[in-house]
Amino acid sequence: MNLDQLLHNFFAPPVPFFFIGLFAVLAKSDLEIPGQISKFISLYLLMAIGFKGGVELHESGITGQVIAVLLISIVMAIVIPLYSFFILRRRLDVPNAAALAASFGSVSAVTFITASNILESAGIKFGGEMMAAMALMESPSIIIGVILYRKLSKHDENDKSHHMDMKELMRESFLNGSIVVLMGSLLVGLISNEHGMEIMKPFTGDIFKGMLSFFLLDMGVVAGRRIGAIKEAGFFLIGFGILMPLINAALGILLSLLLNLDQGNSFMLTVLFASASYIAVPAAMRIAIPDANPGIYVPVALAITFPFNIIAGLPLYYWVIQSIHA
Amino acid sequence: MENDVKKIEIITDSVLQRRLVQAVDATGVSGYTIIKDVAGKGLKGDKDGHGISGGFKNFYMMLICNEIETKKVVEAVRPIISKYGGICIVSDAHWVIHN
Repeated sequence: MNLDQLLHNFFAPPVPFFFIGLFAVLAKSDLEIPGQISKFISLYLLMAIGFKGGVELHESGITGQVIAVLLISIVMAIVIPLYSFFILRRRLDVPNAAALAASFGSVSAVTFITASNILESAGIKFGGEMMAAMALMESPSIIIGVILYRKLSKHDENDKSHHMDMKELMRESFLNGSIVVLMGSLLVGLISNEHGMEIMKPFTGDIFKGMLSFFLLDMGVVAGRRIGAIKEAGFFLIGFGILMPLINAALGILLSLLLNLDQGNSFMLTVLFASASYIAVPAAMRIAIPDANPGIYVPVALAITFPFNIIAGLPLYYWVIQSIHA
Repeated sequence: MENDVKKIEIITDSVLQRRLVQAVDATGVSGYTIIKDVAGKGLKGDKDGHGISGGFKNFYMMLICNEIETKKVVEAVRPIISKYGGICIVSDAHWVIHN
């Protein structure tokens, strides 16, 4: 696929709906998607992608490469927040650096699903283990962020108000609703295989692009509403929000080469490393690191890194990986 | 007067709802009303209700209690509000119908 075809696929639905949402906010339209509908569609997308992943994982089987991908994903979910934290500490205090670093160690399911749609349009397959990798990468960075915050922030060690029960944090991190739906549907796909795929096709296949279009429209609105916060973020955070996905993507491409992954899997692994969480991590950080300001860590991931990845990152990563595999 | 009661209103982050409800339940009060996904603005910034993470949404809880229950509820929610932010208001009320 050449660049023209890539752009053609890129500007076919669902991606353009993101720009419609963004435009609606900038043009001060009253467009608003009710929160419960957004929540429903996000769960639908996770269920559909998890189910497809399970079916594909059944076909490919649990190979050495699959295990290697899952292990490297967990390692990167621990390593990315560590180096992100020390970069962010140049300008931010410990709580905000820890919370933002945790966001970058985790993943954006919407970016991942949009990337999967680009591959599907191009007729390129990728393995079901990538959905499992996404689920495994959601939570470790939350734990790393909290450990960094507890070890390095200046607060009275006897002040119990800073201490959140680690067991409770682990439960909330590893059993949040998104992970339960994603892993649960992956398991159902794995067990039910092609027969299940046939049953679920109208739900997980036929309406998938329409639902993703609708969700990206909403994400455009949500990202647009956070754009104002970019001005307050300053050049350092804007630069971080753009450069960090590029650095993480470069690492993803390098590791994909080392693991000898095919084009589709390389792209999906790269997208996982390059994205940042603006749903699961902020909710956990609000409780685990109450001193951190959501007005900083949400807009960087949501209004800078997410649009950057959708507009420029995904085509760039795809083009680089395609050139390597050509 | 027999019908005089206290009205407790609590507004804080949506992500804290489960914790706050647990703390209130532990006091033994018989009931409350919750309104989810409440928008507004306060010391912790603009809670415009957008996004699905809950980070920019509040929830509202209202309880009608007697004097003793009120003290228990206020002490139960105090550490949560002090740590994470939010507001807890107690006002005098007078119930007219309660079935």
